[in-house]
Formats: sequence, structure tokens, C-alpha cells
Amino acid sequence: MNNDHLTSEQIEGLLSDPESRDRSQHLNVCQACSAEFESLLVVMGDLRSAAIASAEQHRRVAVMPAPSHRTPRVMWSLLMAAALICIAGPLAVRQRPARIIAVDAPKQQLQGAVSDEQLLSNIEDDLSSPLPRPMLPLAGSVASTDPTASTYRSKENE
Amino acid sequence: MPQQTLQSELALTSNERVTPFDDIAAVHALYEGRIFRFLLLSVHDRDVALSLTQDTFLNAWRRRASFRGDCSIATWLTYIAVNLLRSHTRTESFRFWKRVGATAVNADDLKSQLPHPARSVESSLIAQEQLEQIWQTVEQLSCPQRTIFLLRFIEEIELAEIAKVMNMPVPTVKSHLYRALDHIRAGHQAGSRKRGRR
Repeated sequence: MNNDHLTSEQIEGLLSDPESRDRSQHLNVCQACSAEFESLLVVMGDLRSAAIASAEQHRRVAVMPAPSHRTPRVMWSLLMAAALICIAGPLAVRQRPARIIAVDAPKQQLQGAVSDEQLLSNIEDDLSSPLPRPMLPLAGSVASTDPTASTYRSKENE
Repeated sequence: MPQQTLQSELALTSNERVTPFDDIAAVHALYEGRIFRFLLLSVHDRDVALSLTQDTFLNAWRRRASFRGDCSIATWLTYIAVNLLRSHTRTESFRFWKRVGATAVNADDLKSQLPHPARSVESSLIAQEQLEQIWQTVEQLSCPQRTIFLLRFIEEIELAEIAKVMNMPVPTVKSHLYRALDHIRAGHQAGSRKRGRR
């Protein structure tokens, strides 16, 4: 810098404390330095305010993501939910008869249990009877061979 | 013997001073914006600046026992941030990305944030041009010059505090600052002459 004009040290002092410009005799005398100082003061002020505003905007974006990124995620989650319902709905409807069969199963088991008891009683009857059941006369023939029945029938005929 | 151990533990506990960094959440809420701004303007990358900001507060909490209260909380945090910045800018990846030019903060960013209270269109354009030119000059400064310039004119920290932050004597800080200002003035005058010719 020219020795006739303000040095950077002096300019720095003036920029740091703009109120001191009134005390600077050189600024009152030198038009070039005065214009440069006023211009620098404005530019430095602009730089500071723009830097602060820009940094604050970047900080907000960095800390909190933009809401525009959230809309597609919501859309995707809704689509996924709809697809799951479409897949799971028919499957649930198909599985209903299987449930009915599962409910009927105990009845069949009960029937099975009853028939088993009947079978056991038949076996016991067989064992207690003097003759096995296949060797017993048939129900019709038993009736015809019964002596008491024949006498009763003959009495009626008389 | 167990009694001696207990006594020494009690002595250690009583020696632990309460520092402002014990409540790191409160310190973070107060100074996070300032530290992030300084780091963002230094590295020009939002993600890196955010990461370095978090590291700054983490280191401050880890080293809280060494905070003696000789300087302000802001100075202590800026000191840690400057050291992290130095170690980061030494890495190869930073140099690579700097060469590539993938910066989040540029002159256009700043121009869009320029306040224009009752300025005419012409004066707004001139102001934007001046801002772009001065920011380009700031980017061309050497690392210490740029850091000191940002600390002085954006963060408005006193020279003595900058000397503590940069771990430099005050005359060295002044020397860097005045050289930086020489570059800024030269660029500003060149820009003014160019506009005068049009």
C-alpha cells in the first residue's frame, strides 16, 4: 500500500470500530481512503450477514432433513401396506375351511370313542356267552324255535 | 490398606472441579451455531462441518477436566475446532475434494443470502458482485490467514483471543491478519476499477 494512504493495520482498526472514523484525520482529508473505507465497511458488513444467514440455513438443513424427502417414504409405506393387505387377504379367506375341520375333529374322536366302548362291550358279551355270537341262531329263527312262543301261538289258534 | 484406597478415591473425587462443560447439552445449545458457522466457512462442506462440530463438543466434554477457566467457553471451543480443522485439512481426502471443487458453500450461496434493505436493482447487483469478488479472495488466502480473517471479521473475536485459539503470539496473528487484509483491499480495488471502466 502507498505510504500516503491508510495501512491495513489502520483500516483494520477502523473496520473493527467504525465509530472511530470521526477521530481519523486522514479520512477527513483523503478522499480515496475515505471512499475505500466506506466501501469496505459495507462489503464486510454484507459478507458477515450473508455468511451468518447462509451458515444458519445450512445448519437447519444439516440438522433437520428437508420435509420433501418424507413424502415419498410415506407413499412407499402406504403402497407396501396395500400390497400386504392384497396378499394376506385372500390367504386368510382360503384358510377358513381348514379351521372348520379342526373344530369338527373332536366330534369324530368322540364318535370313535363311543364305537370303541360298544366294541368292548360286544367282546365282553361274547366272552360271557356260552357260544360265540357267529354260532348263535339268527334273530328270526330264535323266535321260531322258542318253545314258549310256540305254545302261546298254538293257544291263540285254539 | 483398603481405608487408604478409599481415602485416595475420596480425595480424587473432591479434586474434580465442576466445569461448564459438565452440562454439555446447555453448552452445545448455546455455541453449536457459532462453531458450525466457523467450520462451514472454513471447509465449505456442510457434512464435514457438522461432523467436525460434533467432534468439537465431544472433545470439549472429554477434556473438560483441563478447562481452567483462563479463557471463555467460546474461545476454548474455537481452539478445539481449529485443531480439528488443522488435522482434517492435512488429510488427503480433503485435498482431493478441494481439487474437485465439491463445495457446499460458494459465492452464489452467499449472494442469495445478501440483505437488500431498500437497495436499487443496480446497487444490489454491485453489492452481489463485490461480495462474490471478496469471497473469492478469501478462498485464495492461506489457511492461517483465512482462519484469522474469519475469526476476526465474521466471528468478531478479539486479537488476543485469536492468539490463544491459534496458539500464536499476538504479533504473528496481526501479521497474518494484515496480509489477509492487503489481499482483500487489492482485490476490492481491482474490482472497483473494473466496474469503473464499464
